[in-house]
Amino acid sequence: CKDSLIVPQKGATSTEDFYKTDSDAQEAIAAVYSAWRGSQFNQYFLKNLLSDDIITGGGARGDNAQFEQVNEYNFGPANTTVSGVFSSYYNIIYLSNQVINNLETDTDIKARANAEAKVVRAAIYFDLVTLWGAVPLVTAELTPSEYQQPNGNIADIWKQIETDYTEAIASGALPKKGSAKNLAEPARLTEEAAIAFLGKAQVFQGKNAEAATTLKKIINPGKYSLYADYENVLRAVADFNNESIFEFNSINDPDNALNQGNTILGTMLGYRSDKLNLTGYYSGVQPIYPAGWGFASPRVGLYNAFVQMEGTNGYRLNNTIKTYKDLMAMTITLNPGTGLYGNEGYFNWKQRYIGSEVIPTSFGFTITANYRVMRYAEVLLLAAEASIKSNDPASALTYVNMVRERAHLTKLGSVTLDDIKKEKRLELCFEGVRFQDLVRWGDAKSALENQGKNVPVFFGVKGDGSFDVQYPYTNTVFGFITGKHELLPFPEHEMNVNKQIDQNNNW
Amino acid sequence: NASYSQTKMDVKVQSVGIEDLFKQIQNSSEYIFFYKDGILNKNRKVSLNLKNATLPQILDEVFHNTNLDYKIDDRQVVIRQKAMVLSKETLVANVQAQRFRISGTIVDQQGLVLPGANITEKGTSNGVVSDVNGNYSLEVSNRNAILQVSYIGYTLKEINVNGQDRINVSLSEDATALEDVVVVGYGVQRKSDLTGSISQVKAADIENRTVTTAQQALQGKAAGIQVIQTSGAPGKNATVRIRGYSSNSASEPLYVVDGLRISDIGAIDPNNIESMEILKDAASAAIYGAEAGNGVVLITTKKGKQGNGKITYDYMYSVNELNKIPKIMNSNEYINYMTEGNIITENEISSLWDGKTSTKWTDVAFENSVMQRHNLGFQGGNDKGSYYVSLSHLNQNGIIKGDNDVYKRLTGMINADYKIKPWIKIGTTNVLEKWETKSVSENSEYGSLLASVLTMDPLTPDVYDADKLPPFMQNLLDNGRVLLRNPQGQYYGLSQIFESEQVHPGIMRDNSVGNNGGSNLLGTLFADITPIKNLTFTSKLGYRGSFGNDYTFAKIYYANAVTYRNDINVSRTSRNSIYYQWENFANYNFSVNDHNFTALLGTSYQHSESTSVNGAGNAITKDDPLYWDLGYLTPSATKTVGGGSNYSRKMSYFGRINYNYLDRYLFQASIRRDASDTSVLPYENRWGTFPAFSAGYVISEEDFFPEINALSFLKLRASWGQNGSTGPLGGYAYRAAITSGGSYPYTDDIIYQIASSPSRLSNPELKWETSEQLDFGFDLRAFKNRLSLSFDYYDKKTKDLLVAITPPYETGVSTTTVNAGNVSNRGLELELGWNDQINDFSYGIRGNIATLKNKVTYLDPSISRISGASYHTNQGITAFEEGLPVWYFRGYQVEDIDNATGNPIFRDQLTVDSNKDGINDQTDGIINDDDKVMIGSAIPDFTYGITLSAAYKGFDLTVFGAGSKGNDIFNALTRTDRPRGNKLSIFYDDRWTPENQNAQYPRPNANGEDKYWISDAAIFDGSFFKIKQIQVGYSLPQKFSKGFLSNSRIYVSLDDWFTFTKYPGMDPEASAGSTSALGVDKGSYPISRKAVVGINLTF
Repeated sequence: CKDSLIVPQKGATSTEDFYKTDSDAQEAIAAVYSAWRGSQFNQYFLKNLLSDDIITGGGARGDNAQFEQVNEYNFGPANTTVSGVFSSYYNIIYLSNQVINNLETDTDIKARANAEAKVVRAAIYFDLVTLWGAVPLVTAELTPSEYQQPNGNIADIWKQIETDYTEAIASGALPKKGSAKNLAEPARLTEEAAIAFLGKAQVFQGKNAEAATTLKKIINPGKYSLYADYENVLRAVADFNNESIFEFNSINDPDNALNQGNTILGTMLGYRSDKLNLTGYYSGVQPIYPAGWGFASPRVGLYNAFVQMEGTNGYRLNNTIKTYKDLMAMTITLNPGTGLYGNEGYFNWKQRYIGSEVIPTSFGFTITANYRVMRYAEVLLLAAEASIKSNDPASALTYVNMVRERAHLTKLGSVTLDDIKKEKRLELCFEGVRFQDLVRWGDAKSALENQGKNVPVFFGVKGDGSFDVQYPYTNTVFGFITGKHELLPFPEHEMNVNKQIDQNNNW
Repeated sequence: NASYSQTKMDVKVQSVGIEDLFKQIQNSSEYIFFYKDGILNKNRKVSLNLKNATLPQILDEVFHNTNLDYKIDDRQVVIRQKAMVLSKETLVANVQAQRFRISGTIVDQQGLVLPGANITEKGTSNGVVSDVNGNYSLEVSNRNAILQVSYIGYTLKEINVNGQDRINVSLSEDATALEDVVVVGYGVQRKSDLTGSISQVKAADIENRTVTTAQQALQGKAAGIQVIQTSGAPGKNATVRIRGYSSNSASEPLYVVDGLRISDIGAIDPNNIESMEILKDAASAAIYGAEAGNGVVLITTKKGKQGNGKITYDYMYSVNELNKIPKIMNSNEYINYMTEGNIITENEISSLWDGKTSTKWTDVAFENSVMQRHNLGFQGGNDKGSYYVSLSHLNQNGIIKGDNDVYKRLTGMINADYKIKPWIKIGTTNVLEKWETKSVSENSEYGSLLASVLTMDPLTPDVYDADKLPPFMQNLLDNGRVLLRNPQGQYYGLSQIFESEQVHPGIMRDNSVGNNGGSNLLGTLFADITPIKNLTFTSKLGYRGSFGNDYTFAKIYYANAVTYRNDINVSRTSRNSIYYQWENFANYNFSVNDHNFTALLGTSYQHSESTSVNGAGNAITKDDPLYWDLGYLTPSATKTVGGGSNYSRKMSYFGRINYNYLDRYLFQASIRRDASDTSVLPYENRWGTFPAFSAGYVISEEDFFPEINALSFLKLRASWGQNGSTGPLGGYAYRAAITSGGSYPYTDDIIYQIASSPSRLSNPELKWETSEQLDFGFDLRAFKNRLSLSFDYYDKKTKDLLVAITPPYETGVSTTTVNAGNVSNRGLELELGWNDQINDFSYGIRGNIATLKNKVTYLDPSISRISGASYHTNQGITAFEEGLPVWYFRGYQVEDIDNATGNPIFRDQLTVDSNKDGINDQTDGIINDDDKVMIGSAIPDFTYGITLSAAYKGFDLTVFGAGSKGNDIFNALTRTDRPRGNKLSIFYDDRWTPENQNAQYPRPNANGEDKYWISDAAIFDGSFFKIKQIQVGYSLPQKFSKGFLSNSRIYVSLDDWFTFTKYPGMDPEASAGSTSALGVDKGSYPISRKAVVGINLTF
């Protein structure tokens, strides 16, 4: 009778029997990749909403109130977009720690898993330290008595990030760009990705000379190149192109359509079919998939920045943003009398939602385009910044011109830090790098101080040809506040359950 | 003078006529025979050979098997025709000369005949038993005798004969009969001996009602039992809460049918239920230990009774219709509202609206439908055994047009027992059920047919003829889209105005066809062995097999850009589960002087296992209903399969002792030890112990108790006990093991690396949830037992709630299950009954009321609040938090509507602790998540029910109502991102306009609507009182049935017909769920009202 009450658990392995074999290592590190990829959606929104690139949008005011609060700078520690990213980041760290601490590195596969986990851990701490500051530094599984961790020391966190990257690179266990192993499994982290991430971390610490040296290890061998067709640089046709440093994989598998990486994001960004007449899709004029929810439309300020640099017909502009007039030319028009909430007449084209990428069995939710975590263009611009700050303007000019060349822009004869900032804003808009840059550069106040004051609704073109944008929604609390918004608040739940931690300033 | 009757004589005749025999007797005695000419059969010859016989003995022989009767009065013998067929027993009784004969029929209040009733002459042992037709005939000693008529379960009645020779007696049910037995765990007890709080619902409360499940039948019939009808769709079960809401997870009571635990009592036809006992207090329920924390419902099915066999047939026909059509905006109002808010412009309306359409989507979606039920029962028994066999068929079609919401059930029941030897009785109970349901979508902000009828714009027409399609629909067709049509071939109207998941109700109904069905077999086999007097050993095997098949075929269709399907989907799921339990227990009664003891000791072992297989595919070889199945998928179709099996076990020991001294002092103690298997709790912590004590004091039995005629019985009760709850346990919640956590593809090909990681943090300390309950109460009877009253106060604390907590985020694990919360439920319960009979008129009133105070009293400090239901992107519109009712509604508070702008003004709560004293004392100037507070609760302050019954001659009347007071409803029909949805008229009628600045509701498209629809503006008072039943019946007089039918009754009834509520939505009883979504109305299926006719026949 005693034994009849022992019911073995199906589909589960005891922790004591795991983290032993190569196969265990493969499974454990895949969990890290999977969790990291799973944070993509919230990462995209948190980082981009904080920037001056996009307006929340959606169906109507409050369609996603959590996003609006972030975008309009009236969020608090209870905001679930903030807490969602924070909690998923520590989950990824937990899974990475399991791999790093429990697996021997006595085989190639185990050593690679160890190196991969370190790269991921460092990449997550990079975001944590740049977005939240003095976060708890956890590098091992916590026992119940250790659950409440105090704030970490920012210097220690940066040191841990550099150590992890450096050890992963030094291990030689990661596949090298272009190697047989890399080509066989392009979705894995490479040694070059680790170097690029390290270089970025160094730039963010102001270690410009070191950063330039690090990033040149990517640039100088010439293994990477910029993808010529900017219109599709983020699209599925350009998955794993030669510009890609690292991307989250999403494959065209109708049988597992909802278990892919790029789920919902495409739908969120897609143009609203209840407001826009997207029938062009059916006649094949333009392949816009007509089930979008209309989030994250470009701000007029971003458009104007493009125009300032490229003119209204700039190649990169036209392949990044479409104006409402551009859409009209494609026979996509606003339904009579309709207002598009959270839109100023500009539409994200670089991240457009196209039918050819939608897995039909996903109900429209999953697109097969991989999500780019880092592109070579970012490496070049980071290297340019590091170079100019470490008195190597010649290198900086070269790197910026490489980016400008692909953008069909004339080469500059000389380059300033401001040129690099402007170039980076345009080249990498909607790609989640802007806010951290603004804070680092000290430019956040000027760029974001009025963000959220007024919220637009777009009603089409007026008689004089100008856009009919009205601002029916206003906030009394809005905009970036210096001394507060450089760092996000620790989530409400964290503050409630962790008596050891101090909240960031002014939250 | 009895001397003549003592005269003995010898009679020896051979084949003589009766007249000749009489002459012979007249000659040899002093008797004189009188009879009417012609009543004697002249051709009849009799032969007798009797020695030393009395006259009655002789005449009995002579008149045996004839239509003749006799009466001896002194010397006179009167021969007459029999008034009726008399049994041999009565004839023997009639031997007594000079007596006065009475005959009549015994019936109950409803006019149903009562066979087997005892009719005795008061003060003598002279008595008879009524026959199968309720008829009796009794000779009493004189014309002024007193008849006593008794029947188990009915009030004893005394009638003065007063020379009447025909006395029909109508007995009234003795609702307060404390000698009644009630079913308790593993036994029965006299009601008067109870020390706990047990409510009883009897067959009379269940029969002839339109309820289709036993849970529904509990509503309003007993205090402290709340029945939550989460859906009025055919075949949907109700949820029952006994004495409040004890947990953050479901708090379903344990159901035990004839000793068998079952999780779904849908298989039990309510008509087969003899009684339901609800064990409310901890002490009564504690014998079920770890499963009893939310109360126990014991269901006893009908058994055959001793006496002549009986055949019953019941038929019910009911017409169901939509109870209430909420007031929503018509097309003119809709246009005003939408254009005022610039949500739709005049331009758009002029281009999209024909200027006249104002579709009432409720008319489009609903129709009157029919429910029919047949019940056929056979029963009988003798002193050795009994049987009950029945067959029931239910066919319920819901009120959505067409046959896509249907419930069909065929139930058979076979119950029997037999005493093989004086020391052993064996028995069995069995239910065989086959069921089938079809249902429509409900209760979702992402597609509920019931929400669509309230939110679809009224400007879109219902249908278009195929040759008169508007251009955009024609265009869709031309582009290969599939638009759905009604059975007449007309296209369902698509809306260009309101793009939503809520579309034309016809499309929502027809875009997929589904069919769930299955069969259940359940029952028990038992043996009661009595090796010595007063000791009964019972061995009982309970079994349940459940086999289900689900089928769905989802069609290709298009309604709008967000609501369409490009591929078909056909799926099937096959499930089966087997459960058995084996219980052995012994009951022993013994007495020492006036000290009476009953002891129970037993063991229980439970095993359940289940297996399921499912498959689905998205392309079929031919679009023809004959091909709509998995067997006809194309080779390239995307196919998915799934399934698995698992099992679980439990082991228990239990014991109980009852003590009774002089029926005055009562005491009971019980204990149960339960062990779960390792899927539920760690091996080391698997045992839970659940003790209980209760005591009763029948103060009216005391010598010092004044002999007040009015108050005949008074008992005080007190009980304490602990029960467990396993609800949310299971699935190895305590164990951190490595489980598969998805997969990752490293290439563009469909090749995955399986991912594995620790599933959760381990918690080897995990244990049972425990409910601890105190109960104080009293029972009294007064006014010759016409009045009965039970009162209870209970205080129930549930502790160690199983809560999935999130430790500090840096642990990296999002949740782990711990015992970390307490909930308190307190309340008063009152059950009151009055029964009386005035001549032929009998009537009764029964009412009950129960109050409830529910509060979360503790939550682990690591969790400030558990988020419950979400509504579109608003998470946590309900929450579980210390100091507040479980799953209260959480949102913003609207302070006012700004007279100048028409925008809602929200309360900025105190969220800043300026002086760091731990109390927030300032606002932060921003309305955001931290300004959400409790804005309502779905838990009622009290629930109540009242039943009135009356009978006069053959007529009977029942009026039954039930209600709840103080519960709120979260009306979740207005999604912020779909501002074009139609709304309840109240938001239109008193909206802010420049002319109506002092409005109750904001202007259309006001600033802050995103918060407005998750504020107290969406909360409505959900109090209601429903008249659940008004039934009038008429029992045909016996003379029409001519002995073939013993009873025939016809009735008409209005069920759920009248609802009194302020709730502006469809049905205040409807809510999205019974746990964290309790009281959230996302468009749930309303309970229809029913006009019923029925017939009850007994042969």
